[in-house]
Amino acid sequence: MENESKRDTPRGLIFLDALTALAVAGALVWVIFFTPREAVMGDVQKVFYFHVSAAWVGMLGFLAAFVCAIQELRTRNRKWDAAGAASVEIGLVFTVLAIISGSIWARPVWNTWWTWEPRLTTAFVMVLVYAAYLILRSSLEDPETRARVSAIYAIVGFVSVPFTFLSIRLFRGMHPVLFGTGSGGMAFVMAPKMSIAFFAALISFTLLFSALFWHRLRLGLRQQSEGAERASEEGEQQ
Amino acid sequence: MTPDTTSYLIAGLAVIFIGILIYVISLWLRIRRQR
Repeated sequence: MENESKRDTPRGLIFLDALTALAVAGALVWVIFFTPREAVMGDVQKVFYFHVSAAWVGMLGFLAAFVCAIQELRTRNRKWDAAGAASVEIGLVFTVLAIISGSIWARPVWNTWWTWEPRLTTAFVMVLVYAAYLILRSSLEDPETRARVSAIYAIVGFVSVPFTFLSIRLFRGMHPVLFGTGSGGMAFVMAPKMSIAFFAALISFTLLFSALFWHRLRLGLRQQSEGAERASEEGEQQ
Repeated sequence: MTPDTTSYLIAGLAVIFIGILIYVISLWLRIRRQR
């Protein structure tokens, strides 16, 4: 059984898994041991590298779901529906992790776990929007209806993503701005070793998204074909 | 003086990596069940 499952996993996916594991481990080691301690915040600043990477993967997942939704409506190919569901699931997991890790960073820096400032509020709303996507999917039994309704919802719900991304520039808030300066928020300047850590974390998490997406898509496609087989068997019995 | 915020660093990294691990395990279990 175990040999069988290894045999049907594509070599490219096995290679991507190994590369991802190495990249994530390398980024973690670099962040912990080779980046300097930030003078004002202390060690907790190092959470930032993986916090931003997790938030990036979250938004990447929602962007992928948006593209898949358009393709689903254009082509009516159900593979796009499986890809959209996979993207949202992974995006939601990483966005929640970004919010929780951000809250832990905020406690010593802002002296509070949570505040309803623009970025945090819009990110929270974005999580609710995509959690509702998964609830909506699970409540629809007919695969065709589920694919179409989910695609329309993913397109409409995507409004929350650029809104969250731009919230630090559109509104006055406390959240730091990574590139340039926001309206009232603090800008953050990185030393060269910090920049290496930032891009290492970002690239490793992008690889992680790709690997997880591939695995999750394969599962979704298998569930689709199993569902279709079951439906045709039931049709024959009737 | 730089504050000692190491415990927050450990908590932040633990949340992210344990969260990813839990998702990977849940995905692996679903894939196994599907086979």
